[in-house]
Amino acid sequence: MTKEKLNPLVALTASALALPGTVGAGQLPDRSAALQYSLYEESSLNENDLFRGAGSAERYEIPVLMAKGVWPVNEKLALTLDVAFEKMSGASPWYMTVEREDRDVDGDGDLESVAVRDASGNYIPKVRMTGATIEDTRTDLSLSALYLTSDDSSISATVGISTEDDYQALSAGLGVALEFNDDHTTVDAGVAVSGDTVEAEDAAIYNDRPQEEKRKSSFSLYGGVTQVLNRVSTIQTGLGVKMLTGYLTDAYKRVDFINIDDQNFTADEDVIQSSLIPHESRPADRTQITWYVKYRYFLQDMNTAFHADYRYYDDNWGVNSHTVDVSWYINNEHGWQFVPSLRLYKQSKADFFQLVYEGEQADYDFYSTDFRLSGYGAVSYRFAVVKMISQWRARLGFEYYDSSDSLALGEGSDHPALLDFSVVNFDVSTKF
Amino acid sequence: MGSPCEVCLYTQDEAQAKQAFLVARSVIAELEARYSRYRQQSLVSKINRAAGSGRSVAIDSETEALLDYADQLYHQSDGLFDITSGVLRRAWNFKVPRLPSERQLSQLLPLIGWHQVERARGQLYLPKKGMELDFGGIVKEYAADAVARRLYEAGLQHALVDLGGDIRVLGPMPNGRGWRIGIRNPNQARGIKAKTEGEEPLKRIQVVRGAITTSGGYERYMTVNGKRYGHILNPKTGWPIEDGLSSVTVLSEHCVLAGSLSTIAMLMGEQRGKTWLDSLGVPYIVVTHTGMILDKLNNAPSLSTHDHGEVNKEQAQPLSTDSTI
Repeated sequence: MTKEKLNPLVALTASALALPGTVGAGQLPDRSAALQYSLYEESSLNENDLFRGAGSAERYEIPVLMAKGVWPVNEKLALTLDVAFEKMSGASPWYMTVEREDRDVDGDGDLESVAVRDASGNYIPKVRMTGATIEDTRTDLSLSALYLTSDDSSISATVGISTEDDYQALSAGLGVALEFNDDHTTVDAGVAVSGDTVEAEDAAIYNDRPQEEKRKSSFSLYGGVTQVLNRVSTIQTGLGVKMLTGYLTDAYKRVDFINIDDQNFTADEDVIQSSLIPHESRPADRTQITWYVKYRYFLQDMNTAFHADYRYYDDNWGVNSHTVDVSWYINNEHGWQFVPSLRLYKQSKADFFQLVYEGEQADYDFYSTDFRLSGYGAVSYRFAVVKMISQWRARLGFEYYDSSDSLALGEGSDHPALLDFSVVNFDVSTKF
Repeated sequence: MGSPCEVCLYTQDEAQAKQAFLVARSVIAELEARYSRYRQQSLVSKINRAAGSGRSVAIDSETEALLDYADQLYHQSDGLFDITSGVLRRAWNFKVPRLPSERQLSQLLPLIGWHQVERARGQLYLPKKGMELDFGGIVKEYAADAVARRLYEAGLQHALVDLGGDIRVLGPMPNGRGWRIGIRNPNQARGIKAKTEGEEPLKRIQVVRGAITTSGGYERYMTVNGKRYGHILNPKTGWPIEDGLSSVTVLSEHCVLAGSLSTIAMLMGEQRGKTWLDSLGVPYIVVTHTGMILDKLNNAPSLSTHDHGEVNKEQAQPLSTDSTI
């Protein structure tokens, strides 16, 4: 807010023009449009962790273009359209295996590839990456409507579609929000469903991949309360439950079972005899519970807002996690905003997750070496600069995500393919 | 809004005209429902009731914008335009010729001061019990703009919105000429509460677009011991403006801006007010308390054309509505 007095007519006219000039836009969002470009880049793996240097250490790079439009149709109804395009390229972890050496075990004069153990008698885990040939594009489209049923209540509905070359997801949601206690308390609740189908690429070539279309579906319920505590602080808490059923396995990941009579590898072939390495297997249902608390505090004297969020997650696969996220929104009088923030994440591993599975496939019900199911933790360092010029807002943000075994909740899994990534994003939005 | 309101418009379609009047009424009614301090359930009443309670009141984006605007007015006028100054009404009753006591005023003055108002995102709080917000100096003018905008959105191109003398013009009359508007003459209006047929305007102008508002000390005043006390009160002293102008008329693109400029000029008094308006370069006409007329309307030939012909706004309107809201 300018207190500049050099040109009062300009200042007053600008301020008068900021008046909406229409009535009853109460809780409806302003008409606005936004465009965002972001570049997500995963750090390369350490070459030493790759199995015999096979596959590519270069992980995903994903540029994303997003657009959003908000359109209040009348005094009661507002529509929001979100569109996103992304193009991913790079390699991803395919499965875990172990260090092997070539020996003539049976004395027939041919070398066999034999799993080796370290001094403590443990296998030495190695990552088998895919080639850097994965290319996929994703398009997301979502349309939502907000309808004010009264001054203090609203209902909302959302439908969305997401398509990739091999994947399609449809989703829909309904929500209600009620304000009472002089608008100091807001209660919201909702329900959402989704249905996904995956049809693995090149299933005819890679017979480990599912040969037919696979489906999964989800059903979610959530409810929350936001309370204005006083004129400078609010607190929000909520609980959500999501039930997933169907094909929850990753269609492209395998598990190498390590046994004494390992015939999967021969000394002259680095490449796996793919037909012998089974596809991973996960339970067909997953129930996820999330509880969160968000606190906002505005320091008037410093023109700064402090945000602190905590989230607890638990599921029936044995994964649970804690997330703490703190941000400072530092405003200055020239329309700049600086937002440093820090996020800490700690996760326990899924019950069935192992880095190395010994023995036979038949010994296990479920098996996956996906690092996302391992015990690990991560710290995100973020910084954003926002500039507001009348109705325009531009934002440049940077995030560095650094995961580590030592931050795990409980025992770390020491997964060599833990993810580090950086994201740079730039967005411009305007109200009109 | 406590004063006669009038909407004049041209259209080929009678149904559209009727619809337009309904729209105008609903725009005004909705603004009044939110910003009138006479309505118990209005947002302003809610804010005023919460004064000093320790509880802030949630405000929407439109109110936020109005407050930002009021903030600008406060700073641009060096604190003379202050939407917390309405509490002075408790001491000044212009229906009875009696001056308030200094004690009364000294109790009220600490409750005045926009700088005391605490605002955070979407929240507002008046820190002292008894403090009041009053959008009276902004919302009526803003309503004229809002009605005009809605009429424009409804497809109308020739309309005049007159909310108790705050006039916003949407396009010229269909023949391309400006709406003929008479500026009231404070010298004649002295002692006359309502517009009478015999009243001769100070000046007649044609307005093709934009807005025209007049602030005056002539409509409400009291005379005590032969001294005239106008209703334009200085929020810093609690007393009527000394070097007061009789009236200030300002033309601007927007009614809310014209209204604010004319009010601030009144609050500044004769010397400062004129200098300030000159520095802004807006078209205006002032009448001093001695009856002198200073005409600076030529500052904006694009908005108005001078016309000394008949004031025949009435004849120019195929349809009109009158309502006291």
